[in-house]
Amino acid sequence: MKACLCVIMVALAGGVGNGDPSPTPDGGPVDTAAAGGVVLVLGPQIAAANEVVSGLRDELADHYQIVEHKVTAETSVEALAQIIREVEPRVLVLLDNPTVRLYRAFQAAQPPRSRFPPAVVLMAAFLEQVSSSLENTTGISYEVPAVTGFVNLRSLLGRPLRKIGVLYRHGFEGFVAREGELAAAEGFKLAGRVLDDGDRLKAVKRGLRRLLDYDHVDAIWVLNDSALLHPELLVRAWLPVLRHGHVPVMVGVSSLVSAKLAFGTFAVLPDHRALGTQAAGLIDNLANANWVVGTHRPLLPVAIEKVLDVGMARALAPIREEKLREVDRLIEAGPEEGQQGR
Amino acid sequence: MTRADEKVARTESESRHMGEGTNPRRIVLALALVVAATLDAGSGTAATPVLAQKIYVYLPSNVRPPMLQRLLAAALPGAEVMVFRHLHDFETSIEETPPDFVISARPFVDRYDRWKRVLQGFAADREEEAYVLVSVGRTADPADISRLEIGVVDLLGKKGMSGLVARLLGTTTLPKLIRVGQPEDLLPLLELEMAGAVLMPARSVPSLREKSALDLRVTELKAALVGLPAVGAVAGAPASTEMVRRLMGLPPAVKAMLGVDDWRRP
Repeated sequence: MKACLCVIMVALAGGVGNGDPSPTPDGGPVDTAAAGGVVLVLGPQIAAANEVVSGLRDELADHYQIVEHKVTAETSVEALAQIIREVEPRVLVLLDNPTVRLYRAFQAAQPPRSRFPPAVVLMAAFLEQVSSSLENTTGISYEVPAVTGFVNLRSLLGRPLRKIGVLYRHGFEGFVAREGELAAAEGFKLAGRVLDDGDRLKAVKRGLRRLLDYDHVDAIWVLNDSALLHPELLVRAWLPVLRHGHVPVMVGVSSLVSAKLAFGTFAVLPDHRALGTQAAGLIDNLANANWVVGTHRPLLPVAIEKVLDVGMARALAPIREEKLREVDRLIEAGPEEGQQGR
Repeated sequence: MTRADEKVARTESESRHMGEGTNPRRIVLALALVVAATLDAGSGTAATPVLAQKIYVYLPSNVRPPMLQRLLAAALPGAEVMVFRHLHDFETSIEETPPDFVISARPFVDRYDRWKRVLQGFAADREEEAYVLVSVGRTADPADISRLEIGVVDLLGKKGMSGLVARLLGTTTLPKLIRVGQPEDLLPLLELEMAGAVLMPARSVPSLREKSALDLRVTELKAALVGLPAVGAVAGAPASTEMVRRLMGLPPAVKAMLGVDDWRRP
C-alpha cells in the first residue's frame, strides 16, 4: 500500500505540470516599433507554458512583440502593476490559475471605471469560474471537452462505447451538464453521479459502484478535480472499486496513465503548442474587435495529445491495432510492472 | 541550440515515448522489418546506404510523426529523415539547416523556387485530389460561405492558406479561417460548433464518418483540386537519383501513410 501511495503521489505531482521553474527571463527592452504592439505573457516558466508561448510566437511574432514575464503566487500586485506600466501591452496572456488570481487582485486594486487591456487566459483550470469576475477577459479552457476524448476512445476500442459515467462534487453540475450536451451530439450518454455528503472516501466508493452496478456504464470519465484525486482517495476508493469494474477509465492527466498505477486507461490532454496557436487566433479576433472582449466567450481547446495504456486497454476490450499509430504515447507494463496490472 | 536541434531533441524524446511500451515498439519494429525486407526483395540494393541525404517531411496526417519517421528511416538507411509536426518548425529548419529533399503538400513544394519537384504523388491514378466542405446537419450554402468560419488543416501558413482556400472556394470574400495542425482536429471544430464547415480532401470523408456519429453533410466544390504530396529537391543541385529511386520503391504501407499510392517523375 505504501509503495502504491508513493507512485500515486509522484503521478499527481507530475500531473500538475509544475517542474522546477527556470530563472526569470528579463523581458528586455520593449521594442514599441512592433506594428501590432506588445503581447505580454505572464505565468510560470515551465515546459507546458513554454510550448504555449512557442505556439503564440509561431503565429504572432511577425506582427507583435512577445514579452514574457514570470510571475508566481508570491508576485505582488505592485510588481505586476509595475510590469504592466512599463510594457504597456496591447493584450495580456495569463497562464495558469495563480496568475489569474494575481491579475484579479491587480484589477481590484485599480480605481473604479479603470480600463484594462484585453486579457486571454490559458492553462487555468475551470476557466469560466475563475475568469467570470475579470474585466475584458476571455480565454481558452484547459479542460479538453469530454466528447473529444470519448470519440477518440471509441475509435480505439473494438466494442461499443455509449454510456459514460462521471463522479462529481456539488458545484460541478453545470459543467457536467454542458459536457453531457456536447457528448450527446456524438451519441454518448453521460451518466453523472454527484457525491453524497459526508465521508468522502465512502462517497467515492458508493458513487463508483452505482455507476458500475446500477448505471452499467461502458467507461468512467474522471474529472480533473484535485479534491477527488488525492492519493488516499485513489488508493482506498478509486482503485479498489475500479479493479473490479472492467471498464476503461479516461483521465485528463497523463501521469495517471501508468502501468504501475493501473488507474487511467486513456488520457486526453491539451496540445500546448496548438493551444498557443489557437490563442493567437483569438488575439487576431480581438484585434479585429478593436481590443474589446465583449461577447467573445471562452473557447474550448481543439488539439489534443493522447496517451493509452495498451495493456490495460487490451485486457478490457479488443483494440483496433491500426489506430495505435494515432496515439501520441503508448504505455505498457514492462516485465516488473506487469505484476501490478489490474 | 538552434530550433532544428530542438526539434531533433523533441523528436527523439517523442520517439522514446513511442517506444515506452513493449508492444508498440514491437509494432514499429515489425513494420520496419517488413519495410527493410520489402526493399531488399524489390531492389536488392537496400543495404547500400545513401550518404548524408537529408529529408524533411511535413505532411499533416493522423499518423504520429515519430511513427512515420521511424518507418521512413528504416526504409531509407543512411538518410537523415525528420518528420515535423509543426509547419513553423519545418520552415525554420529548412532555413537553418537546409535539407536535400522535402516531402510535403504539392502547394508547399510549388511555393518556393528553391525546390524542384522530382516526384509527384498519385492516388487512384490522379495527381490531384478534390476538396469538399463538410458540415453538420445541412450542406453548406455557397452563398453563405463567406459568412462561415471554415476549419482547414494548415499546409502553408496564414497567408498561404488564405490564397489556397480562396481559390478552392472560388471566392474573393474569404471566410474566417481556423487553421489546425492535424486532420483529426477538424472534427472537434464541428462537434463544438466552432466552425460552420471544414474544408478537407473528399477521400478523407469516409474515415471522418467512421469516427463520428454527427450528421455530416458534404458540399462538393467546383474545381477545388489540390496537388497530392510531392518530393522536392534543391533546385539547381543534382538530385540523388538513388534517393529518388528509393522513394519510388517505398512499400505501399509507407506510401499510404504519406497519402499517395505511388510516386511518379513529373
